Amino acid sequence: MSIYYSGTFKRSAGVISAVVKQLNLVNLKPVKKFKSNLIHFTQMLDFLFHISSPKVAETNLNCVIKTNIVCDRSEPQIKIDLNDAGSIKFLANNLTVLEILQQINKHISSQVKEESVNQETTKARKKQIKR
Amino acid sequence: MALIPRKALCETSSLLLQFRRFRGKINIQRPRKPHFERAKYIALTQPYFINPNKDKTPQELCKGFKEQRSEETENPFQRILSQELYKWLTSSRLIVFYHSNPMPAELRFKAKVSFKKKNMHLTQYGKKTVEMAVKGTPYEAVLNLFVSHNVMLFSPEPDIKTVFSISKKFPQFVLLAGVLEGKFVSRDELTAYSLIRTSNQPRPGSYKPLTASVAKSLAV
Repeated sequence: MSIYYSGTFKRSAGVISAVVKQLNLVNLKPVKKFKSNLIHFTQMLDFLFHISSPKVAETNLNCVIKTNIVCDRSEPQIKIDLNDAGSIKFLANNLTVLEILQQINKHISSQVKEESVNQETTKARKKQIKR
Repeated sequence: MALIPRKALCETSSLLLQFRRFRGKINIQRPRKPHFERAKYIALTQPYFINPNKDKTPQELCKGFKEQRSEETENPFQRILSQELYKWLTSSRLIVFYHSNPMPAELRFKAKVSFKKKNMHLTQYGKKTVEMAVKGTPYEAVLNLFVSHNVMLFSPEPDIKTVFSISKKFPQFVLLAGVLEGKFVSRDELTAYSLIRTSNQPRPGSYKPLTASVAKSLAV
């Protein structure tokens, strides 16, 4: 009576798999500064943790992440200043980590043009990575 | 006389009656219908099994269904850790809660060492352990801070300035809130407290000899 199993046999660990997938796509090259006003007990601290990871930081070493922990009951905000004079503001009150990452990938990471794979690693670049 | 078999004299077997019990071969393909009495007992003693899927919901009948494991048994080691944590919470005058961003273990160790040199204890506990330690106590509000990766600092002296000076060197630690002398304080309040001069000595240049004019100004 029953039909055979059809579909993929992937094993997903839940939301975190989706988050990791988005994180792998994140490219912060167009970003100049990351300013966040976070309340001390929101899920946005999770987002902060992910965005501060070394892999994401490697995409743009000049990008500065500035966090301001806010104690009054204002909305948590994330403001992203771009290199070419523009900024994106996230009102993160009701947003999840996954949603923010998806939007970042949609608006920011998509702007990055694919560079040539074979880049000569100069001494300066090596020093930067070491830091 | 004894030589004559008894059977021949006393018991005469009639040649007309031939008793048959399993005489010949039993036909297993087409077995003989049993006697009613036998059949009755067979019917009564037949085993029957209740279907294991009898009272199950459609969710339970699903192929990948896992029964929810109840977390009743607590981990005794976790209980010990939570007790240790509670001792730290009650015995330190200043407690600071940080959110920790990803940092290499070497750097984390350096931070621990820097704090240790000032007689401060930097530790990391999971949310479950903290919950065990803190539930039902006045420190229960602290649980709200434990969202992402957290690190705690315990100090026997309320030396906020030192805490700030060391924290500046490690920007991966984001200060969230603290507990000062048993009172829950926010980050802004902590910074305000750090600016208060705690020493009893007067500020340099503020000392004035007690003359009549000074005494007049002091008198309210």
